[in-house]
Parts: sequence; structure tokens; C-alpha cells
Amino acid sequence: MNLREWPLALFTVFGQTAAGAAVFLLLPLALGFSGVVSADEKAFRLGAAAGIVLLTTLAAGFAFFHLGRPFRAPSALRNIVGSWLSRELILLLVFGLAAAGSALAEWMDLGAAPWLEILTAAAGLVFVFAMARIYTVPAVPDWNSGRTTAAFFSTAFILGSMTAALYASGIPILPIFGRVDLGGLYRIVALIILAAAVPAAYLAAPRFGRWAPKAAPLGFRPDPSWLTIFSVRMNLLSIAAFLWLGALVWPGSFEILGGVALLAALASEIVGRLQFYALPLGL
Amino acid sequence: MSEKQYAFHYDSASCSGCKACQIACKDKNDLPLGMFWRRVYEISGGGWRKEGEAWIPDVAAYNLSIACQHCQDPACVKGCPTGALEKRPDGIVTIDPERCMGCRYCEWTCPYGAPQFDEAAGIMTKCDFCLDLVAQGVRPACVTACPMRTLDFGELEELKARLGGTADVFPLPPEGQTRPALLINPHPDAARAEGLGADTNNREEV
Repeated sequence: MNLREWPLALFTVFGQTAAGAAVFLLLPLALGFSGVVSADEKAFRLGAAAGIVLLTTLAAGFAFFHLGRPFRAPSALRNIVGSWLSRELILLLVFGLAAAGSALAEWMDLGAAPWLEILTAAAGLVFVFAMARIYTVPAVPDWNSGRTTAAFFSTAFILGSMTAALYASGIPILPIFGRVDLGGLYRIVALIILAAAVPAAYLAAPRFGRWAPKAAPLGFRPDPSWLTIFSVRMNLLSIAAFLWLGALVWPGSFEILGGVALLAALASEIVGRLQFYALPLGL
Repeated sequence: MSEKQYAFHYDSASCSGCKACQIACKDKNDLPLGMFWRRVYEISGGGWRKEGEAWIPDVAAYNLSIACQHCQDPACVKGCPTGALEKRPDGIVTIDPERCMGCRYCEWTCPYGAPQFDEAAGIMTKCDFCLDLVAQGVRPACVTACPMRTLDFGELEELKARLGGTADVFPLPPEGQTRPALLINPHPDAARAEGLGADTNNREEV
């Protein structure tokens, strides 16, 4: 498999994880569904926003390795009118700055934190959408469909929900309004997303079933190892789902089993993304 | 819309596939190993077909000499985040080496594989219609080098009136996608190539 685009694979997977985590962690908090013990609420919110900043910075850092002339990167913001790549980078900045603003507002006890948390989650979703639009180009038939958008949001929701559940497990959680346990809710939501992602990833794989494009692009070289690597990805994702289920069955070992499940899901998404980038390149 | 539009005309029906155009381009532009701004694709496919008691060959085989098409609606220019790619008033699409950051996005947006990455310089490069030669009234190196005279160069409308042609030739993308400044006189086999399952058979070269 062609590994040339490893920086982009890591940039998109980590960027989408950050966006998904912002939706699962910050949005419920901003809307008042915290359930966090009040003394710890500030630490919870601050840690969540800071973690998202860290993930976003990590993602952005990987992107620089993709560029032939990284020092010219600031000029990538020039063509916001015509280029989805410029828009994606603007949205990455908005997303990262909003998350940093949330952390700062929480730390300094400014009342604006909930608004910034909503802005962070919204910017994260639009950032993932812009990422997908970059790759829906007619010149690459394997990318040019709603499957690319679905795959990118799927990564955001799988890894975002698992990250949120693991983060919430380390903080004392009280049932919201005496009814809903936010930490428990995160765990169940992550399990549902994982369970749905396994068959969805199989059915929506490029060149499978009725979605296969009719003609390969001009310079395309078929990759004989494609199926083998795809099966590695699917096995990793299935292992993640089973481990997550185990973590729910044995809550005492949630951090260990859930952590390993997150690593397996992360590895699965990175392998899947490397395959995605290898589609127009071949071997 | 550019004031005028330079274009290539290519007679695929007469092309012998000698690749003199490919080498002339590489030589004139001093391109590094593995980089070809013009590439000759060998398209072939088909097999044997039984007619009565006889087996007869049913094949399609032809060449396509492809460079940057300096499209009228260039996807590379639209997608470039830095504005390094530009369509000039004479229709020629150029890359500003001082602006390009080497993100390689144009490599994906171009359906003809025209922009190519220069690893040493860290930027994208592509055919510029031999700007320096055209400024002197000389034709591009690939056109001059063709021993079969299958390549021609000029203003799109003038070429169209004089030689006709189309860019809708298998396996090239539909003409409407980027409106390439390319006119091809297709090989007679091209019309049935897709039905015969034809494909590029010299991928290692291009």
C-alpha cells in the first residue's frame, strides 16, 4: 500500500477525532446537560476544551509534513472564495481558536464559555464537512461521492464518542437531574456508533458492491494488497467494538478495556484512511 | 474567460506511439527522473471472438499523447489554495513557483494527471505550452519533435475550424468536466474500446 500520504491520514483522523469529541463533550455541557459534580465541573470543562485544543494542534502539526514548502503554509488561506482546502484551514483555525477560547473562558471564569463551546462544536462539524468536500472531486471517481463525507463523519463520531466516554470516566459524574448519567450515556452512544460502523464500513467500502465506479481514472494502478489491508481495518474495528462491549459488561475495567478499544479503533481508522489516500495512487 | 485560448490538436489515428513528444518535452524542460509533463498512454483491449467456425481477433489499440490541456474551466486553478495556479489571458495555465506550497491538491483535482510534484524543489510543476518558445513564435517542443506530425498547436477556434476534433475520447474524462483546450482526431478503435474492456497497458512508463 502506498503510504505517501501518512501526514494527511493522521491530520484528518486526529482532526476528526477532535471535532467529534467537541460535539460529544462540549455541546452537552454548553446546553446544561453536564451532570458533573459542581466542584469538579470547572476542571471537567477546562480539561475537555484543553484536550480538544491539544488534539487539533497535533492534527495541524501532522499536516505540515505533507507540504513540500511548509513555510508557505500561511498562503493557503488566500483562496477562500474558490478552494475548499482554504476553507478547511480557515475552519480548522476557527475550531481550534474557539476551543482555546472555551478553555480560557472557563479558566478565567468568564461567562462566555457555553457560547464558545457551542461555537467549537459547530465549527468542528463544518470543519469535517469541508474536509470531505476537498476530496469529492470528479477527477478521482473513488472519492467523488457521499461515501467520503459519510466516512469522515463516521471517524469523527466513532473516535469522538469513545474519547468523550473515556474522558468522562475519569471524573465523578452525577445523574443529570437525577435521571441521566452523562458518562454512562457517552458509553452507550459510543457502543451504538461502533456497532453501526462495522457493517457500514464494510458496505460503503470503495470498489465494493454496486458503488464501484465504472472506469478507473487515467493513471490508476490497481493495488493487489487492497483486500488484505481492508480486512485488517475491519478486524481492528470489530475488535474495538467487542472490547468496548466488554468494557460495558465489566465496568470495573472500563478504563483499560475502553482504552485498548479506542487504540484499536484509532488504528482501524488510520489504516482505512491510508487506504483512502492510496485509491488514486495505487501501489 | 481568457482573451484567447491556445490549444493542442492531436491526431490519435496517425500516432505511432514513438514517444518523441514525451522525450522532447522532458529534454526541453530538463525534467527529473520519473517526471513527464507529456505522456503517451497506450490503450488496448479485446480478445478473440467466434464467428461461425472461425475465431477472429476483436481488439482495440491506439495511443493518446496527453499533457496539460490548459482547460477553459481548470479545476486545478479553482482548487489551488494559494493562488499559485493561474489562467493567463492567452489561456495558458501556469504555476507560480514562488507561491506554490507543494500541497499537491492540483494533482488530485486535475483529471489528466498534468500537475506533477518536483520532490527536490517541493513544488508542483506542469506543461506551460513552452511559454518561452511561443513568445518567440516557435511551436512547443513536443509539437516540433513529432515525426508523424500528429501534434499541432494554435488558437483553439482556428484549430477547430481547420482540423476539427474532440476531447471526448476513451478513457479521457468527459469534455464538459473541465473544457480542455484539446482537440483529438480519435483512432477508429476508440469508439469501441470501452466495450472491449480496454485499459492503459503501459502504466509503468507513465
